[in-house]
Amino acid sequence: MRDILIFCALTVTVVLIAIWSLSAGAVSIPWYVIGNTLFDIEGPKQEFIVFHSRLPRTLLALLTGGALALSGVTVQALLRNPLASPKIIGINSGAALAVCLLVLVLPSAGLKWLPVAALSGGLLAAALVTGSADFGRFSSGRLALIGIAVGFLCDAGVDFILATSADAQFSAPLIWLTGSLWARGWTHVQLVWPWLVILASFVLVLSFRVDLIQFGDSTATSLGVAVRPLRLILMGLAAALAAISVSVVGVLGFVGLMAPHMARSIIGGTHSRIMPCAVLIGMGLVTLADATGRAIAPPIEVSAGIVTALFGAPFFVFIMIQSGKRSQV
Amino acid sequence: MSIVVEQACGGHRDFEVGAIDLSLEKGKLTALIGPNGCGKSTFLSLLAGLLPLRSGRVTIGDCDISKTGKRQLSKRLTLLPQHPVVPSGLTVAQLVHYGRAPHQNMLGMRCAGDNEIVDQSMQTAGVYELRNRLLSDLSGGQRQRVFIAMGLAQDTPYFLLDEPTSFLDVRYQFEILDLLSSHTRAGRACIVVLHDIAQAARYADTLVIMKGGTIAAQGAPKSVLQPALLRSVYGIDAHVYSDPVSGTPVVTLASKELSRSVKLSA
Repeated sequence: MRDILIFCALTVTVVLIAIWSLSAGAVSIPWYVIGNTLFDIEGPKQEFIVFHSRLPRTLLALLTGGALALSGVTVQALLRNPLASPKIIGINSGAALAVCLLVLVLPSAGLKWLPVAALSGGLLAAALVTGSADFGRFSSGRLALIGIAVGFLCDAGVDFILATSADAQFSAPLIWLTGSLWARGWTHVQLVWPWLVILASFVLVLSFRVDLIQFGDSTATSLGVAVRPLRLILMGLAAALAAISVSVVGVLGFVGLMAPHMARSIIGGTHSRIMPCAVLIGMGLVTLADATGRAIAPPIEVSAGIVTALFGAPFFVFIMIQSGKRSQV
Repeated sequence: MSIVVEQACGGHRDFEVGAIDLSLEKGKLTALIGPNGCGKSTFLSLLAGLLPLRSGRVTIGDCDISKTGKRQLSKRLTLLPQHPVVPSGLTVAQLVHYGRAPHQNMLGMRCAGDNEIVDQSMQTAGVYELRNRLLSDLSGGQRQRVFIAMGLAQDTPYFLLDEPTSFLDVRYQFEILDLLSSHTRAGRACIVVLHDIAQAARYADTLVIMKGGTIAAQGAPKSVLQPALLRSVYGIDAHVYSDPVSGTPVVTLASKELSRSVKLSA
């Protein structure tokens, strides 16, 4: 019962945030105008801004927020480490570096290659990290450390490319890499939604297996889990979810760390409940951050990455203190 | 059906156990003892299919464990590792329910009878009253019994336990051994790694003593626990006497100080 209430409350919150995200920005649109536009009701409408700019952008924020959160839950369970997140173990940075390289080497490559490049970069980073950690005796602590190193390496690559390309025409389009939904449209939505929905369904189907693998290799094996293949599959899915999100919204690192913890302390228990809860929280966070970034000082936009960290961090600390009182995490 | 180990050999890259021949039968409690680092845990890992066999064979009834999938294996054999990971935010009943995973589908949907088995296991392990408490709020002894309840819920003919009594008060130690003993009498087999020789001798039907990655001796406690063997395995000059209550062998030093007895054995 309590769970149902939590899910209802979260869903309503996400919907409200999404509506606000449609209304906030350089041109503020009242909610009834949004209603008129969306449901084709007689009265004042704002079709161009809503349909061409804010709706795709909001959808993208919802999609990537959910994906990053889900990826974060999976990585944390696999590593049994509360500090883990796709960003920490190098997936996001790997994807960002691949996107940079694509733009640098093949400037003429179409937009549709972005997710492919990001996916390869993210999977490569994940494979490198998991592979090296699996060498000899697997240790999740070592995996996290190798991941941090790989992440730093890829970040350095991105910084190098951005700093050395004096050509503004080249570097300006890459600003979004730091985590922004600026100038994202329907093409981006169409590009990523099938991937994200399919990958997310796979992860949700495996949520019970995630419960089992977090008991550690010995117990999980005793409970009938083929630990190694399952770890590879889950790591692959988590990397793909994060990398594809990065290909359209850049490195929104904090969501993947924060949303899972918030979900754990709000609902807790099994991953069949933590995962959907984290998805909703991730959706809400990124959409809220993007809308706030637009509303703070229009027409200037503060990138979602900055806003997530700015408002998310204090809230995160608060949640952690609360859960400390209940001796969790 | 019994577990038969023939010339089993395998382990980690830097440590292997080898040339192990053993037969584990239902209705028997087998205690695995030996000095630190003698390969007890590694041997349990081999039995449970956690580590691959390099040579030799382990069969459970007619199934060869290296040719059996993990899922099939998990319906025959339960392993409780020495330091099980305690995930946060789980209640006792939730944890024990995971013991049913081998019998459930991919999604972990509960089958008919799962609830009864889980309740029964919690009652047997004496944690039924704690079922709604968070695992993270329990003491070490309570937690250990919860993990044993999870193992019981898995409901397999063979139960392997790696030092289930370590770090527990003496009362909890006996409670757990009593529990395993009655579990064995119900027609199951328990293979337990223990440190306390007297406890092992008191509860085990068969004592398996390991040294340097292989079996030094096996058999009934009374026939196995001889001063000569204890000298070669543990490097102590031992005096063995009968426990006044159970009549099983108890080991103590033959002299007042270890240093003197080591000199004697050297």
